[in-house]
Amino acid sequence: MTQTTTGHQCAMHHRGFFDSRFFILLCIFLAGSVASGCFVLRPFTGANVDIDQLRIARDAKMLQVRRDGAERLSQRLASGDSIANADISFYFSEALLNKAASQVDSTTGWLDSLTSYNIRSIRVTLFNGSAIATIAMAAYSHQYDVDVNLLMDCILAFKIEKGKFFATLEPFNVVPTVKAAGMISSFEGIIQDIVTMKLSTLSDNLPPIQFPVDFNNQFPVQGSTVRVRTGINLDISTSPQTLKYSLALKEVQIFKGKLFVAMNVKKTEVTK
Amino acid sequence: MIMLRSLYLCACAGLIIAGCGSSLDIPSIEESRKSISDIKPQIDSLDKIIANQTRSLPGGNDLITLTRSSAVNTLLERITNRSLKDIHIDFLSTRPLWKEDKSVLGIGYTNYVDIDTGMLDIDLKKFTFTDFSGNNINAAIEVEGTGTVKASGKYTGVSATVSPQIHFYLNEQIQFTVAAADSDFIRLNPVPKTVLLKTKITVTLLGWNVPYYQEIPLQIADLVKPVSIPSAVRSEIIFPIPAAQYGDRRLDFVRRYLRFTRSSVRAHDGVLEYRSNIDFERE
Repeated sequence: MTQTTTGHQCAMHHRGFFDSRFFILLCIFLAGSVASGCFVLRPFTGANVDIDQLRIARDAKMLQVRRDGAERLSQRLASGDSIANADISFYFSEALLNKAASQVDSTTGWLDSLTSYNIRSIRVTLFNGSAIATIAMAAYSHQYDVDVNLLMDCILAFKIEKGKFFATLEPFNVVPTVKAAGMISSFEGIIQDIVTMKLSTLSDNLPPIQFPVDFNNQFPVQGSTVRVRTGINLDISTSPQTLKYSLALKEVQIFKGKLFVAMNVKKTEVTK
Repeated sequence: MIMLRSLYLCACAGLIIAGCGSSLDIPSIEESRKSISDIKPQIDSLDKIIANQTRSLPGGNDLITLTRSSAVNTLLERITNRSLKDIHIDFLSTRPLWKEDKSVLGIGYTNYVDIDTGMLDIDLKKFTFTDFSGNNINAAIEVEGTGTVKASGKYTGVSATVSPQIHFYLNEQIQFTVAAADSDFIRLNPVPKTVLLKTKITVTLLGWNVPYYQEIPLQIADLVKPVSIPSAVRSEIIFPIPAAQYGDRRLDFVRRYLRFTRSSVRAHDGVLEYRSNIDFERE
């Protein structure tokens, strides 16, 4: 596991943290948890595993997500209702999603008052039926001075709320990145478990990826005046008007390399 | 110190309990390999099927919007149905609207009718995009209205004032070209054309029936101004980012402007297609 702390600092933390009384308490607690049918205990994959096992498990999980998404998309396309059957269709490229996602590159946030995280980069990949964002980030425990580099895979879930269209990031894999392969020492592992567990709440904190789509639009229709002086003298005029309309989301589909968003005109109004 | 550790343990317990039910066992390397070898061909097969079904989907730009003519017509219908008084006409003094020189027993006189004043509102009955093709939009426009004006005149030397009925009608095909600036708007420009506003006035002055019919030529570019339709993409956006300082607020917000490049628009097969590349620029 990649750590930026020195061995001396870690040893200090470990000695303080894992004195015998604390360790006994922790063991009792874990035993209790197991006895009650709740085994450990991470919402995501995390520390204390063989890194090769973790990497290949991540690949397998990614493929599962892709397969499930592709199955859903295939069923949708076979449903008979053409995706073109919408008033307005948007196609956003994968490149555009990445430009939007990159707005949070190098930003720092907080999981709690003692644990910060830094998003180094977000890379969005659009597959048939699924959008997966891989976030390279570092979580830092200020309390224990432990810095954990992570790759977090998230499914992008597209939503509309308060007239805004955005994608929330729902993590399904968290993989600590390591410099040295092999088992992580139990002490470091448990500390990192804690950081990882805190990361389980990260989906609530991660900023959504915002799309520049406007559901409420308007455009002016200019007025005009025509002077007629041939045969009969008259002035013909039209008043300027503003046409307002709102769009309702019909569906979102993800294709390889592009995001498809279909919308229908919901409400129209003309004002002078 | 013990107190702190106990508190920390409690916090851990809370987190662990919260994690119950959502725990994820890590499969062995062999299990994962088997899973991958099972799933990969399934994905390849599904991708092939989907690729066949989606060959015609557009691509090549950051943003592509396809707007169906029916959607635009839904909006235009709202304008045409809003009122029966879409177009206002002010009549100015027209002297004469009609005149005829007569002579009785060598004495000449002139019968004439003047339009003095008047105003009326007429209805834009129809304004519909009929066809998107060849990068042009064909539209049908229909205008109709009836009202009265104040007229005066002289017939056989006798003056009189009347309120004749006037009827306007226009039914024409017009055309727009489409253009995209590097912005979030699509511009529709009317193609110059002369359209004819058919005008019929039925004047009866002291038993004299004056048939007046005229086709008034109007330049469509004077009557219909260019229309800029939004592409439904904003030109600026507020991005949420993580709050750099710990506190109640978990997110900060930054403004970014969208820079549109390589924008183009095309009208074809009943669809208005807008394409652009987009970059986000800081304030």
